[in-house]
Amino acid sequence: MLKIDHLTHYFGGLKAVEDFSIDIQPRQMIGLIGPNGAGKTTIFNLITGVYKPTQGHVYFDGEDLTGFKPWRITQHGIVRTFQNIRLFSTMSVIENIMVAHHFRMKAGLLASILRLPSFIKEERETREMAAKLADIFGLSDVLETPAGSLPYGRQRRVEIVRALVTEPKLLLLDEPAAGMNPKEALELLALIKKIAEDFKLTILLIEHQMPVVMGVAERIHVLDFGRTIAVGTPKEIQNHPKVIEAYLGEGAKL
Amino acid sequence: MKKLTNKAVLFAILGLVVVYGIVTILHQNHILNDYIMRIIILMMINAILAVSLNLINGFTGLFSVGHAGFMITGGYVAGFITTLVFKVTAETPYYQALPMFVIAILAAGAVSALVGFLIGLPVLRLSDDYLAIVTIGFGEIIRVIFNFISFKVDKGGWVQDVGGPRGLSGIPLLSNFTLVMIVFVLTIIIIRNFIYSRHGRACIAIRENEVAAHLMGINITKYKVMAFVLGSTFAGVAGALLAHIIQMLHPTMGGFMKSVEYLIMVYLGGMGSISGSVIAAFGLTAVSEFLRPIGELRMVLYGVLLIILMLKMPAGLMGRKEFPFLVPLKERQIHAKN
Ligand SMILES: Nc1ncnc2c1ncn2[C@@H]1O[C@H](COP(=O)(O)OP(=O)(O)OP(=O)(O)O)[C@@H](O)[C@H]1O
Ligand SMILES: [Mg+2]
Repeated sequence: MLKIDHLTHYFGGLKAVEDFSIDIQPRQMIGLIGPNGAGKTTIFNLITGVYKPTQGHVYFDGEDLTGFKPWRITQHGIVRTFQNIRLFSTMSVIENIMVAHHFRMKAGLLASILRLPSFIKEERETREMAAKLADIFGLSDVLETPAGSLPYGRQRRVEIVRALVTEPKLLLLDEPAAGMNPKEALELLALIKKIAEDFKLTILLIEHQMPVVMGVAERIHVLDFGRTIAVGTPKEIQNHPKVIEAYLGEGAKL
Repeated sequence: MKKLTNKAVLFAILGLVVVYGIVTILHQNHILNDYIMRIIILMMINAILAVSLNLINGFTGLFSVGHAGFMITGGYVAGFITTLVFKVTAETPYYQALPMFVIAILAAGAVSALVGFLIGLPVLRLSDDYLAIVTIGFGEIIRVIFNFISFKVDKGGWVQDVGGPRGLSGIPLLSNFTLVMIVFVLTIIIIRNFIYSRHGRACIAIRENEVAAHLMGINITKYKVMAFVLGSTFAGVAGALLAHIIQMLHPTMGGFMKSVEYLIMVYLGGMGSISGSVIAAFGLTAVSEFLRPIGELRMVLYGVLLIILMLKMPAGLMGRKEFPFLVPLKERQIHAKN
């Protein structure tokens, strides 16, 4: 489904990602871990078209998406959340979610300006669908609150719901549980796993807390200084000497 | 809940009809003289300009500094059409002139839209940081262009120059209270409905966080251009109306200083508030008219006023708030809860 071939990206002289390859099958949940600055977010930025890779290609469902604009990649069915939350802060939670359904909606300019019945109907349906999804993530009580005024944990949940309403095939989650304690993080990931099953999603997950990612990912790619130092099941990764070494500098979170 | 919508909008319609009736009756009884009527008409024209600029700068978060350029473009297009193409004069009966004027207004909007598209597309594709510079330049270029465009018109025996540095004079007085009010109300309705649709939401999302909007599948260039073109269109329409109330145009009227006046209205009223733009445009137009006797001094007063406002009220008079009738029901419930 997602196939990345020898992806390399430089920031000036800095090699942020080097020769990264991955092959993800439908319905898989793959983890991407590594110490700070390893290049994880950069890989998301390369997949979603925020940066153009220096070398390498990104294929999705057999199509080469390398160099596509971000909005086109999203419309192809790849969507992400952000490590540094990027909500539409002064818009309400429900509007944040509805915005992301934009390209699935059909109302043309004229229908919108005349507020034709077809427009009204589509707006109502979108609103209801957004509210339903928000409810699954426990956001019902804040639908009308400006997204920027929520605590971070809930903002991350809004981000996930917002990503989901684009009706993606592949969901890229960049540290969705950041700032949560391990218990909250595991709860959220369990929810994500359930959603993935319900919506037949494929997920690539960046996560800092090792126990969290160990619990949900079927395969894990470990990055360090842009290079892939290990690939394997959570068990294999846990005992991999290179991984332990890489994480030692961080106080061995394992 | 459905009743609520009908109520606010119903009151608004009722209010409009009452205001329209009162003003018309007062005018017919000479309690409101032509001078006052002219100010009222200018207030509405400036409101069209402020609201349409707000769509670009306030709602979409772009920074256009060339709104007067689009206004004057529309003004000239409409002025040329009524005076040179249709040869409307003061003697032409209004019922004959009106359809011609409507065509002129539509043409003005269309040309301004086209110019907006030709400027907006290449610039907004790159980065909107350039938009300010380019629109300032546009205002100056348009001034030069209208300095050059002139026609020799045979006025039955003697040849008259029309256009050029002298400006365009002898434009027939066709913008009356009724017509301008209709266009004004239509503008508000169109822009309001645009904003409360998926298209408007896309524009606001771009303002709020461009990267996120882009990554949620919104073609950001398309929506920036759309907002810019839509705003420019209404500026052109307003220019057509303006030309036919002040009855003369001068190339300098499309320049930077004039654009700043519209910017002030938008900021004073509140970036992202239709209501605010209308209030500010009405207020500033009236005030500056009454301050006319003090001449250029009022520009100084403007400046001081602006500084005080920016310090004391950075969000403008209305912030992002709207009159209830300008917000559709669903959205209004949200506003109410905030
Ligand atoms: N826009 C940029 N310009 C220059 N350097 C960048 C840019 N973005 C990231 N980098 C650098 O690239 C490297 C990889 O960064 P990246 O954000 O991908 O790391 P990460 O694995 O996501 O780290 P973290 O766990 O802290 O989120 C880092 O050294 C970072 O400083
Ligand atoms: Mg990161």
